[in-house]
Parts: sequence; C-alpha cells; structure tokens
Amino acid sequence: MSGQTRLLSIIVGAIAVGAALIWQATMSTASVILTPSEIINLKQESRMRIRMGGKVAAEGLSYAVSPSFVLSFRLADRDASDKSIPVIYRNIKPDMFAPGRDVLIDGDWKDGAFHATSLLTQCPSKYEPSVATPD
Amino acid sequence: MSSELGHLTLMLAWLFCCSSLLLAITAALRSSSALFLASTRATISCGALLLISLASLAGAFLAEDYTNQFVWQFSSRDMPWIYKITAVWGGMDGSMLLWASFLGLGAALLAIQQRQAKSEMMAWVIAAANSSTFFFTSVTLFSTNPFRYLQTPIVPADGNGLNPLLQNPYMAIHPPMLYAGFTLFAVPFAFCLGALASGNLSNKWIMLTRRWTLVAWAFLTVGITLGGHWAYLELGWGGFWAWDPVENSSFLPWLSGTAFLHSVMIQERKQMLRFWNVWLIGLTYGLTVFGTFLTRSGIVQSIHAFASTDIGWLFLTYLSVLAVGLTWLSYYRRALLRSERSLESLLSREAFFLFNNLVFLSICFSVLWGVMFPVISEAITGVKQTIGAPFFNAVTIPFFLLMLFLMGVGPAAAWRRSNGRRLFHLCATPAIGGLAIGVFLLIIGVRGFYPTLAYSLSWFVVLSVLRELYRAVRAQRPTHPSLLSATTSALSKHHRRFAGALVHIGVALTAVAITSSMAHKTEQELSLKPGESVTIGRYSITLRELSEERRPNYQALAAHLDVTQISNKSSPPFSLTPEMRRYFRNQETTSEVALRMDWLEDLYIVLAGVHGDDSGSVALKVFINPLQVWLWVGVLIMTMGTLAALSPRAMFVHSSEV
Amino acid sequence: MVLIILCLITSGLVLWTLAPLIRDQADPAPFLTSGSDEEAARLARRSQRIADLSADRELGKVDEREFSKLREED
Repeated sequence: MSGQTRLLSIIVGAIAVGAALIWQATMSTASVILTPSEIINLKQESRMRIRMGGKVAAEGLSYAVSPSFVLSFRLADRDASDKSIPVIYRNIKPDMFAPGRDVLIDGDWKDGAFHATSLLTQCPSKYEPSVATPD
Repeated sequence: MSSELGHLTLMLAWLFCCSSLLLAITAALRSSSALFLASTRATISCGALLLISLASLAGAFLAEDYTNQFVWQFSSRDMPWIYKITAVWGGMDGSMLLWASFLGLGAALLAIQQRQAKSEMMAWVIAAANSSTFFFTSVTLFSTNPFRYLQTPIVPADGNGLNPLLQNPYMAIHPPMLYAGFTLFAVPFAFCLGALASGNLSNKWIMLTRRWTLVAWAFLTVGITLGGHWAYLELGWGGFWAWDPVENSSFLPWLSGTAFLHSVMIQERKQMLRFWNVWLIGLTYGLTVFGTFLTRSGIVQSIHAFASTDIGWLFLTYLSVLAVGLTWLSYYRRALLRSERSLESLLSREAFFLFNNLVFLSICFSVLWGVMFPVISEAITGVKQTIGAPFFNAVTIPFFLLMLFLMGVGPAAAWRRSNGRRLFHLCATPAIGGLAIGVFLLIIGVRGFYPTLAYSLSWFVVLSVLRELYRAVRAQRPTHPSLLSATTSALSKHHRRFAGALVHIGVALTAVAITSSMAHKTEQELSLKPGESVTIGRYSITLRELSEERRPNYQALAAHLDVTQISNKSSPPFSLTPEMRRYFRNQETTSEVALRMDWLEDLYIVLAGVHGDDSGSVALKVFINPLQVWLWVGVLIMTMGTLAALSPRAMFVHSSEV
Repeated sequence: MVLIILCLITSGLVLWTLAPLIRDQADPAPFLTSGSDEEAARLARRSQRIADLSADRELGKVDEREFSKLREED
C-alpha cells in the first residue's frame, strides 16, 4: 500500500491501542464521588472506591501515633450539615488538618466507617470570590 | 491612595487596549502604516499602565490599606513585607491582574520588537495579541477587580491574614514563573492568527516566534518544576506530583507546547505540518485559558480549593469563540495550509517528528480525559466518578517510554528518507548500551519492568547524543587537529542541534530521577525515645532530644536527630531537625520536613507527633528517595539547553590558534 | 497630587499614540508588500535544505550515494 495509506493505518492503529489503554485504565481505577450525607443514605456497600470531599467535624477527632499512626475523625458535608460519618486514616496527620478544614479523601466504606487510603487537606481558599468580611 | 491609582490605571489600560485593538484591525484592513504605528504605541501604553496597576496593588498591600477588600482578605500587619507583595497573587482578583499584566507586558514587548514591521500580517498579530489582553483585562476590571472597597462601616485594624502555607519563598516565584510561561504563549498564538488572517503563511511567522516559544516553554517548565519542588517539601500535598487537576492544568499546555516546539522545526524546513502547527499553538494557548478556567470554576475537586464562581462562563465563552474562530480561519485558508511536500518515508526525520506530535498529543488527551472525567461521567451516567494517580500513571507511563525511545532514534534519522539499515546501524551502539544497563540492573536486583525499561531508554538517549557528538567532532578533525577546537567547531556548526541535545539529556536525567524516586522509594514509620537509635537503609538515626521553642508567630516542637551513615564510617555524621509548628493565629499545625539531599538519595524525615505518655518518644516517618536530586538537576540542564538554543549563533568562539 | 501626575502621563500617552495619525495627513505611508521577499525566502529555504543534507552526511546519516541522489532530486 502507498506511503500515505500506511501512515494512516499506523496512526489509526495507534489511536485504537491508545483508546483501549485509556478505557481499560479508566474502568479499573475509577472511583465514585460522594458526599458524607450521600454515604449515610447508601443502601448497600459500594464496591467501588470512593472519593469524598467534606469538612472535618469538631467532635470525634483523635490522633494516635503509637503503635502506628491512626487518625480518627468525623467528616460532614461542606455546606455544614449535622450528619457526619466516621473516618479512619492510618497515616501521618497532614498539614493544616483541623476541625472546620475542607479535606479530600479516597478510600472504601466498610462496616459503617470510611477507611481512607489518602487524605489531603485542601489548600487555603485562594480563588474563592472576595466575599469574606470582617466580623 | 495606591488602590485608587491602581483602579484608575487599570481602567485606562483597558481603554488603551480597546483602542489598540481597533487601531490595529483598521490598520490591517486599510493597509495603513500610520494606524499600525499608533496601535503599537497604544499597546505599549496599555502594558505600561497594567504594570503600574499591578505595582499599585502591591503598594496597597505594603501600605496595609484595609479599605481595600482584597488587601484586607489576604494580608495582615504581622506578615513580612515580601509576603505582603506575594499576597498580590494569593487570591483570585490579584492573580487575574497578574495574568493580565503579563499579557500586557508581552504584547508591549512584541509591539516594541515589531514596531518597524509595516505589514498587514503584523497588524493582525498586534490585534490578536491585544485581544488576549482585552479579555483578561476585562475580566479583571469588571468581574474580579482587586480594587474594590471593603463593605464595612469602619476600617478594620488588621487584615484577615494569608495562610501560613502560602507564606513561603516558593509563593514568590512559582506563580509568576508559571504565569510568565502561560502568557508568553499568547504571542506565538497571536502570530499564528496574524498569519492566517493576512494569508501570509510563509515561514515568517514561525521564525519570528521561535524565540518567544522557547522562552515561554522555559518559564513553564521551570514554573511547573518549582511547584513540584514546593509540593515535595510540604507534607500532605502528595510528594512532588499528585496528578491533581491544578497541576494537570499547567501540564497540559506544556505537553502541547512541547509538541508545537518540535513540530515547527518541520514547517521551518519543509513547509509541512502547517495545519498541525496552527492547531498545536491554538491548543496550547487554549489550554492555558482552560487551565485558568478549571482552577476558578470549581467544576472539579482539587486540593487547591476552589469555590464555584461565575467567571467560569466567561472563560467557556472565550474558549468557544477561539475554537470557532480558529476553525473558520483554518478552513478559509485551507489552501495555504496544505503541505508543500508529502511524507516520503516512515523512517524520515519528518515522520519521527510526526510520531512525536502524536505521542505528546496522546499524553495530553489522556491527562485531559482524566481531569474532565468527573464532569464527563456525571453527564453520561449521572454518577460522578473520578480517576486519580493510578489512572494517570498507568496511561502516561507507556507513552513517556515511547517518547524516550523517539528521543533516541529520531535525531539519528535523515531528512526525507533514511536507509533502514543505516538507521539501525547508527542506533546499534546506543541501543546495546541501553540494553546492557537494563541487564546490569536486573542482575543487581532492581525489579520492575517499567522502571528498568525507563532506565535503559534514558541511557539509550544519552548514548545517542554522545554518538552524534562523536561523529560531529570526528568530521571536524581534518580541519581542526586539536580535540578542543574540533569540539568547539562542531558545537558551533550544529549549535541548535546540540542545544536541543542538551535539553534531551536533561529530560533523560529527569526521567531516571522520577522513575527511581517513585518506583524504588522506601518509607518507614517508627518511634524513637530520646537516646534511642534505629537503622534504616544506609543510615543510623538517633534522637538526641525533643525541644520546644516559641517563635514570632508559631510554637515549634523540634526533634533533634543525629544521623550517621553506616556503610561509610568516614563521612561525618550530620543532624536533621524535623519540626511541628502550631500557629498562634488559628491553631493550625504544619510539619517542617527535615531533608538531606545527596547525589545518591534524599533522606526525608517527618515529625508526625509525640507520644501521649511520659516517655518523651516521638513518632517519625522516614522516606528514602533514590536519585531525587537528579530531577532538579535534570530540569536545570533542560533550562541551560534552552538558553543555549536562544543564544546568538556564535555561542562558541572558534579559535584557530588553539 | 498623584492624580495630576497620572493625568499628565495619560495625556502624554494619548498624544504619543495619536501622533502618527496626525502626521499621516501630510505623508501617508502604506504597508510594504510582501511579494518582494518571496523569492528571497525561497532561496533561503533551498540553501537551508542543502545545509541540512550536508549535516546529515557529516553526521553519518546518509552515505555519498544517497547524498548525491537526494541532492539531485531537490
């Protein structure tokens, strides 16, 4: 076949392989995004990994460093709701972690508690609209 | 006072920008060089006024002007003056002003550079550059104005304060470098639009923009790396790269920008890939705008927190206008965009550049897919899903390995067509070297298919460069008997090629460092009592004592550790002091990592906490990151190579007396 | 005070910007046409291609036979 056709078929073949790679990786690593109140309402346990964004609640916070790191806290919805869920994170407490902070966690929901495999405190609001006023 | 000045100059800048836009378009339509000159002057005025506006904002911060909403929100009296200045871009309004100012500055420099041009193309170019400035200045002036008054009856005594995490030297350089990289791509894009609008699609626009593109790329590379370094030093931000949406939004234009950088070399020489190049630079500029949109619209979650703001719609509209405009222009000029030559062989240099485009675009698309997946999945399935680091690593690593392979083979290919056997012969020695490294690593116990392949390919790239250098020097030997003069002559003769080769060596080094620090890192959690020691890797770590100290705005808890290297008794012991800091203002805590960099590995220790009992023992987490420092060195070499490519041709003085 | 300086600077910039248009009445200067440098550009591209080919030969990517063949075809 001519050079142009050969090139075109290589490109098409490569795109097909690439698309397959992306698809397979997507399906196997996707996690569903939920909020704490949505998890409470979950009827059955989700088989998928879950990513959650929420606000650290004021009560229920404890941090043990021996024999290993265990951070236990309660996570509520960002727009302050009274419902919160228990979260367990077996690693070092991240910077700026405190009640009232927004955090992003990944993990699984098992036996009524969220087992977080990753916990990141969200960077202080850089790009929120300027509506804050002194109180 | 400073705020009022800033507001006025911002408004004036906007007016000058509008005028310049109108003058330039009219100049193009009427072929009037007087109008063109007027438009360049208006552009310069706009740039100058924007810079004054930016400086005024900084002045308002320094003057602690709490009648200004933005200043109040992001500073406080106890901040060091340098952080008062960097707080300018600590919030959305100021960061948009910074972006607009950089665009204005870029357009002004362009206008100064091209003021004698007097061509229809250049008039359109100036118009296009001003249109970018116009958009961002409008958004700043009408939507995210940093010069608004604080809505309160009395002026507060002190400001709200900037978060301690942002009071960091990196805040002073990372955003400006990054923004410089983003905004400088507006200039090549303006040239592209100008060339299309005027129908002047000769190579002129490519050649004129080469330096702008290189400088933009350099700033972007350094900016991204500085962000990575900052993330590395701060706990909780996931190491040096977390595939976070904000990080990705800066990476996307870098990927398409790198493809553009390479692809234009083909157009320059062969008048091919014109259509590709129009869209590559359009994509790059579009992605910089998209990145700004992503980080301010709140449509995806990130550790860089964003609220949903209204300005997302403005950006989407702008992006749509750009897309439609570029599509229409390319269709209108489709005859001129056709390649003058066709691809003669799949083993030609041109073909390898084409493959290179494809690889970078594939990575770019994959990252974009990953970033937008929450939006896509919600739109299609109704359930919001996300994909994170595992996805990005799984998909991009094969492409990056392919990129390394192309980096080694591509430069060995001849223009138009290569003899397959000859190409193989040229690559044989470097390939054997790469394979040898792979085998050697397997023998000494390094495991992992992808890491080993990455190391082999990186070494293959380095050897390919050396092979080419060897051949070039050898060709100079007949006329330059001395090795030194032959080398300088070879480097001077092929100076662009070897500047690029230097960048590739930097890339190979960076690839090795990224691979080793990700695939072969060690982490361990442990507890230590005062006086107790523990052995990790090559190190013996002893806790000497735990101390508490009060500093200006925080209370510090420090673990004083003494570290010796077990295997190397002769090297002196050193001490590391990781800290935990509790800030008085809001009781927030941060960790200060103790880091020791070594050519072989980084020893990274975090003080995680103190045990509640009276033993006085501390909880530590120790990381050993192999070859980490070579990441930063690699990027430094990449920057040096880019500077070499920018220098005038006679970079190496050829001396025949040597 | 600052306001006065700003006014002065602004008026200066406005005058500087509009100056070419005022002068233009007496001596209009249209754009240079791009046709004249087309030929020069074509020649420059040709010499660039020859230089590339020589570089390829020097760096061992093409041998003498291929070099002459490619040279002829150009």
